[in-house]
Amino acid sequence: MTMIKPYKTLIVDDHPIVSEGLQVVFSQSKEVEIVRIFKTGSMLLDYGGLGKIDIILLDVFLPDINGIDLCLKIKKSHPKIIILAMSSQAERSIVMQMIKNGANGYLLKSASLDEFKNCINKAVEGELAFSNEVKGVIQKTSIHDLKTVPRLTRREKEILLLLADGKSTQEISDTLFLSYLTVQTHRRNLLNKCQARNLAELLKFAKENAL
Amino acid sequence: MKNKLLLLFILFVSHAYPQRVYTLDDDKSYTDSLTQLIKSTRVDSIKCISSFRLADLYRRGKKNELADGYLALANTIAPKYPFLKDVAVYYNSIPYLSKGDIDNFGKQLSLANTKLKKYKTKDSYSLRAYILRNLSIVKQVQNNEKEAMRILIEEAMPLAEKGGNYEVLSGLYKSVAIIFMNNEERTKAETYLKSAKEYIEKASKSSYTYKETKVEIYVIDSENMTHLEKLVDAKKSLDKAYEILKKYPKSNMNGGYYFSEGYYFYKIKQFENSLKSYDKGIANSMLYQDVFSANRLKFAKHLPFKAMNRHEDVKNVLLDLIENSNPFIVDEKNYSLELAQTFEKLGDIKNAYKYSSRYIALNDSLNEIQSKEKITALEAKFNKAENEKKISQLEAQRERDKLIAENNKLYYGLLVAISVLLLLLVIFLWINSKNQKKIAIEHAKNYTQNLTALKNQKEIEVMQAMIKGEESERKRIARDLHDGIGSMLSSLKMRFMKVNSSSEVDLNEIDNMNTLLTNSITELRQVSYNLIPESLLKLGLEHALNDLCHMLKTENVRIDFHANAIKDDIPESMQITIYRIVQELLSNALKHSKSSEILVDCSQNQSRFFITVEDNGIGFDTSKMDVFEGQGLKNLKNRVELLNGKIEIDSSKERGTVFNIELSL
Repeated sequence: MTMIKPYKTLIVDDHPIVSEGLQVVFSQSKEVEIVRIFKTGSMLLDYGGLGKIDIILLDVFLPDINGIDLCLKIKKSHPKIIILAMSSQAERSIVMQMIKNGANGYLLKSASLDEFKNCINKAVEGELAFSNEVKGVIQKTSIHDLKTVPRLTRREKEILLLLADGKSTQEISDTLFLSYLTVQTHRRNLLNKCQARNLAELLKFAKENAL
Repeated sequence: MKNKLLLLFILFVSHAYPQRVYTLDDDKSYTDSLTQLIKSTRVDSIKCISSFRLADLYRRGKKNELADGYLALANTIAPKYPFLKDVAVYYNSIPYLSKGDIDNFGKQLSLANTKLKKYKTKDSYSLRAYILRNLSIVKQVQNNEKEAMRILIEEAMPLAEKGGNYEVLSGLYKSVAIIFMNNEERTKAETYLKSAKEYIEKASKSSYTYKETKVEIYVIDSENMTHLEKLVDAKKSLDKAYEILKKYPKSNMNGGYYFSEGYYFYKIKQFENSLKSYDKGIANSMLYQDVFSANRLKFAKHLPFKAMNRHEDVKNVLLDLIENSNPFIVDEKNYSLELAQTFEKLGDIKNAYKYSSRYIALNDSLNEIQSKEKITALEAKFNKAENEKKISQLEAQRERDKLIAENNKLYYGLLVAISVLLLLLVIFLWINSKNQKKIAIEHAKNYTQNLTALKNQKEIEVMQAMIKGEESERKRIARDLHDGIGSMLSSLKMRFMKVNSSSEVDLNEIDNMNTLLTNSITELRQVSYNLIPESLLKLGLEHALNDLCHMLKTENVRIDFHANAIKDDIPESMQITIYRIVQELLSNALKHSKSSEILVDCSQNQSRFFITVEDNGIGFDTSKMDVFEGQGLKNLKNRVELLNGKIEIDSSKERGTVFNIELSL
């Protein structure tokens, strides 16, 4: 990274209290120079001086454009810019989505100045940077995000057994007193869950995994 | 022999009557008086009846022109008087008789009789009796003796008695007697003739036909008495007749008288006198060209000749009759027989054989005629029987047709009745089905209404629950804000004031304050998240649910989440509802089930959304669900039902609880 301190930084946040607070916090910093503050995503996209910018502090929830989508757009046009997502919430799916779209880190707005600085430094160094609370949210996932044998519901197991007996969808719906559509949906779900393309694959998978 | 004579006599009397009215030629004074009366009288009715009588009189006297004249005169007046108009029918019938039209004469007589019935006067009765006597003669001529007799006895006689006209009455008795004589009932004839004699003696002598009637009766009576060998009585009657007739030697009644006299002389064996009488009779008859009478008298002559064995005279008489008189076959036959016998006695066998043969031939032909007549009669009878048979057949046929027609009528009636019945049935069924339909529609309507009402009820319940939930949520939020953030901020404020008031800055105190502030922000975030998760709004249902499951899982409780084909275009309100349902189920499971594993499975297929939440916990009694589960689950059910969804709960101690929810989007 050939970034020269202080890093030229943009803040995109619709809440003036947050952005001004950050500006105040970073005003005395030698590492971060707040170049501009934008209140909407479109204002950021219209800004011509993105080429000279090192870091963008991007609020996830903007009034006009979703921060997640905005992130992807900026990263596509200026891959070198480090984008740190900011939010007052730390919802796992949003964090993951943000990272997927190229964000370099995710911070809670309530994070301390030190945390901000740490994260910025980490990001500049090429690491994914998370504030402490966000780290907690991310870490919880690790175990179950691994690809495991899918869990089947009791109803799905019943249907699987009947399918193994060679019953048709109609016969199953008659046996279980369910509508045809319901059974059809379960059957489709079974194939999706087991990533099987047809009934034979599904039954094979079920046998192998002792479902 | 005698029979035939009688027959001829009867024929003569009955047949000859119209053409050859017996008269004493003594009517002149009467006709004169009538003529005078007609001229002088001013009373039309008298003029009319007199003219009728005069016409009748003239007709008897064969003065037809005068008769027609007076008849015409009478006819001009008659229409003015109803009685005379009806009387005229009788008088106008007489010309038919003159012309020999017996049938029409009879018809007119019947008509006159009928018309006169309404007049209950003696004149009318007498006239009707007279008319009926003529009618009786007509019946005799028409060979209906029975009817003739019936008319005389049952109709004419009572009328004559009612009319008090003894002359007419005696005439009627005489007529009956003639019929009896005709049928060889001489004794019966005698009794009637006796009555006739009695009545004629009582009768008014002023009648212009009185003498004629009297003579006729005695002449006939004499003949009958002679035949019955009551010769004394016969002589008396002859004398009575002669008493009148002697004044009228030229009268045509003398023929009849001399016949009876001759017959009487013959019986008392004064043959010469007998022949003399017959000759006188023949002379009288010839005077009036009365051939029948003359022939009868001539034939009668052969008996006295025969008795005197003057066979030559017998032969001459008979030959004269057979060759010159152009006799009836019956007569010719009799003549032939007599001639044959006479020739035999004269020894002329050849002629005897000739007349014998002639007799046989005549007899045969007569028999043939008779048998033919019989055959004809039989044929007629047969035809009649045949016709009757045909008629009866036709009638039977008609009866049958009638029966068939009636049967048909019955069938048609039955058919119509059945048709009507069927029609009624159809109409009844139709109306019934219509009513049923109406009722069904009504039921459906009611059902729909009930359903709507129920739905509304449910909606209200849900709304109330939602309002209640909202209220409790607000309370919770208020409590959270007040107890958590509020208290922290209050504490922070107090610490600030303390720092502010003290001159030295206690770094420790600032750290505390920082911690407090951080906690406040975290708390606030939690509250905000509880209100509505940001991810649901920004990233959709699948992410939100995933986050939820993630957030709720702990080291003790594993929560698996599967999403299958959930689309992003689900309406936001629907997404929130689904989110809340899953949230409710998860929180229930975590709170109550004591399970270690929870499986959340959400999938979508077209407009159906499926939610399955399973746990391996302790389960609960679904039947007591409403009692102990409180508001939460009940609200859940209501919410699902409101979205046309289905909820299926399967819970047991061993296997935990399964919620299968199906919603329509």
